[in-house]
Amino acid sequence: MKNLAIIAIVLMAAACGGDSGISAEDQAAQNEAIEQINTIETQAAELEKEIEAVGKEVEDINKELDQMLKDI
Amino acid sequence: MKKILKQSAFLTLILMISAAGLLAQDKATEEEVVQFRSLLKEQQMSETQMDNMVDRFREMPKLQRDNMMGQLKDKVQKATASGTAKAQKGKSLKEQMSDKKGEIDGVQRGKPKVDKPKTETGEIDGIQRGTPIIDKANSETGEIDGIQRGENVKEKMKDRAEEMKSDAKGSMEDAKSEMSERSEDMKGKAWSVNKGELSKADFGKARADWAKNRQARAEQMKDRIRKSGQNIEAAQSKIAKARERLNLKKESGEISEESYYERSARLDNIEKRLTMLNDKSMNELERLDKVKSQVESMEK
Repeated sequence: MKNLAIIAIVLMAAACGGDSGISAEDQAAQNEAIEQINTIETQAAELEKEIEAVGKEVEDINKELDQMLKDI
Repeated sequence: MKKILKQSAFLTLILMISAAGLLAQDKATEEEVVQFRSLLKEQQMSETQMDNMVDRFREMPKLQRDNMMGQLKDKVQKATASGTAKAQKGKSLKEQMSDKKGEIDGVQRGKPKVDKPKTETGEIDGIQRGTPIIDKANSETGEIDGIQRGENVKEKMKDRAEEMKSDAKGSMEDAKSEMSERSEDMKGKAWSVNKGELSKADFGKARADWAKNRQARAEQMKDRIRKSGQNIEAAQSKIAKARERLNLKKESGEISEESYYERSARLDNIEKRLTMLNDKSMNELERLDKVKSQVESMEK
């Protein structure tokens, strides 16, 4: 009985000794979520740039057409 | 007496197992090593250098490993961002669009997305090729983060890891505010893995905040697409108007045939560009919906 208590204490100490933060499982889940967020962010950032570029080019075309209409 | 001896032998055995357990807990897992190696690969390192770095990485305490991984990830993400910006600069949209067959934003199909940062001196973000990161820190001042050569480096590293650990706990609040700031201002910036150990609930909240902000920004992007669609329609009606005027002027003989054909060709060209931009806009809308559904799935 005494031995079992000692074993339990030692094993608990070993388990707690490494890291006192969140569990490894939660950390892994968080890391996975962060990876997904980063992927989405990268896609969204690229898309945002493209949307801006298209919008800008359409505006430029409109200006060009306004000028053409003046000239004709 | 025999019983006491037996008990003490048993205790010693248990202590040894526990110590081994502790050591094993602190060592890098194979998954971490693989991830670290892939990050190094993206830094365009030679196999020997990589092996060297991986060996060092295996021996590092967990916090230091996490820190190093975070730094490397940041570097790779920065490199990606600067690579994309470089590719965009100096290229018109038309060129980018015509490049689309083989290349999107400077990233060739079939090639890894990360642009390897290269400079003339062969440096990657200040780290010279052929010099492992820790050696580089050693080479100039003989110090690794303030640890002098000749001292018990391992012990100092352990102390430093402990220090960092307590710092990390102490700045839990900072980490939380950093996460919420990030969620508010996620303009293409990436989250770094292992930055602050947030509790499950705090992390969930930060993620929900991020999703909310991302959805709001997706709506803004949708509005921008709608606006472009309206401008495209306006441009099309202007083209029709210009053609009409042009025909009238040609019939009345106010403009020469040459001038008529030249202006008609310009209008044709603009019309083609508009069709392409319209297609691109439609494609953007589809991609935006995809991003939105991905964000929604993250909210659950």
